[in-house]
Amino acid sequence: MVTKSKTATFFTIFFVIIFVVGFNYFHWLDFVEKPLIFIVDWSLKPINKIKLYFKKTEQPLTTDDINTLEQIKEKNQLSEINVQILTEENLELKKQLNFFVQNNFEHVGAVVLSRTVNPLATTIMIDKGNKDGIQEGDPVVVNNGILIGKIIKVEDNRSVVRLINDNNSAIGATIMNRERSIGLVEGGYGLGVRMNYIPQNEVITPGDIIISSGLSDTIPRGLVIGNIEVVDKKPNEPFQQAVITPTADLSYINLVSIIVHKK
Amino acid sequence: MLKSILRIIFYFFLIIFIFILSLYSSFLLPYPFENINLVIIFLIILLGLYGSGNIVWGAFLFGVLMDLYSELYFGIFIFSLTISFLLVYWLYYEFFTNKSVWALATMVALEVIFFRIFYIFFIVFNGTKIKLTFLFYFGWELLFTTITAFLLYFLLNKFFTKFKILK
Repeated sequence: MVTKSKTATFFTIFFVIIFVVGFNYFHWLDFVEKPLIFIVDWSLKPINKIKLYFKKTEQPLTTDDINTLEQIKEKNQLSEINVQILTEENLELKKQLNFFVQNNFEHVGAVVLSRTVNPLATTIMIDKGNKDGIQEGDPVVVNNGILIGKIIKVEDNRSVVRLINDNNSAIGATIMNRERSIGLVEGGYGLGVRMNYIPQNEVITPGDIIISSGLSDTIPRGLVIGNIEVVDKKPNEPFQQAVITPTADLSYINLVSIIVHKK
Repeated sequence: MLKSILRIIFYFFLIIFIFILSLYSSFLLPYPFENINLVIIFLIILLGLYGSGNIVWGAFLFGVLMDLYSELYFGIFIFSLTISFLLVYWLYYEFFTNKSVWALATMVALEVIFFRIFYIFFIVFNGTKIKLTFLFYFGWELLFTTITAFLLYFLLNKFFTKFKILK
C-alpha cells in the first residue's frame, strides 16, 4: 500500500515537472516567470555595489592611485596592441581580414546582474537581451576592448555570458610574438585560463600579450585577452601550452559591452 | 482556508527571498565558501521542523527559480532538486525519525549527493564532458553545506525554543 502511494506520488510529481517544462518551452508560463524574474532581478541590483565595496575595502591605501595606475596600464597595453596590429597590417598590405578595421560591429552596454546558479560554470547574467540586438556568440568586452567572454544564451531582456575562464570556453587567439602564434584560449573551471595548441617550434615568452585571432565566429581580431604567465613546453609533444593572466579582473565585473552586429 | 492561503503566500515569498540570498552568497562569498547551498539547508530545516511532504513542492519552486537563472536547459534543476528531495523525504519518513542534529546534517549531506547525482546525469545528457575536477567542486559543496547546516541547527536548537524538537 505504501509502495503504491510512493509510486503514485513519484509519477504525479514527474508529470507536473514534464508539464511545467513543456509549458515553458511554448512560453505559456511567461505570465508567472516574468514577475518572478522582475522581483529577483530588482533584488539583485545592489549586488555589484556590495561586491565593489568589498573590493575597495580589500585595498587599505590609495585605492584611487592603484585604480588610476591599472587604467593607465590597460590603456598602454591597448595602445601597444593597436600599434602592433596597424604595423602588421601595413607590412602585410592588409592581406588578412581585420574585423575591427572593417567596422562591422557596434556596442551595447549592460550591467551584470549576478552569477548563474550552475556551480560548474563561470557564467554571469547581464540585463540586456535580444531586444537590444544581442545574439548568441557575441563577444563581451570591458574597458574598450578587453575580451571577457561571449554570449551563450539570450532571452528578451537578459543574457548569459560565458567567461573566458569557464571550462567550456574556447576562443581562437594570437600571441603577439615574432611568429604571431595562434592557439586556443581555454578556461579551467573558473580557476585559470590556458592557451593550448601553440606550435612547438614557435618562441613564446612570459609577458607576451594575447589577443583574439578573429578565427572564432563573431569574435573580431584584436581584442586583448591577457598576458602569458608561464610557458609549459614538453619536447615530446607537438604543441606547447601557456598559462595566461587575464587582463580583466574576472572576479569583479560590473559593466560590460557586447559587440553586436549592425542591423 | 484564508489562513492556508496566507501561509502559502508567506512560504512563496520566503522561498524567493532564500533564493535571492543564495544568489548573493554565491556571488559575494570567496571561494570555496561560495559553494554553500543555502537552498538545501533551508528546505531541510523546514523538513526537520514540520516533517511535511510539502517540502517537495518547495523544492519544486526552488528548481523553477534556479532554472530561470541557469544557462542550462530548463528543467534540469527542477527535476534534480524535486526528485532528490522526494527521496530524502522518504528516507526521513522511514529512517531518520529521531530528528537529532546529526540526523538532519546527514540528510543535508544525502540531499547534496542525490541532487548532484541527478544533476550530473542531466548535464552529461546535455553534452557536458564529465571530469574529475567536478568532484572537487561537489566535495566543497558537500563539506561546507553540511558543516553550515550542522552549526545552524545546533545554534537554532540552542537559542530558539521552537527548535527544541531537534534533540
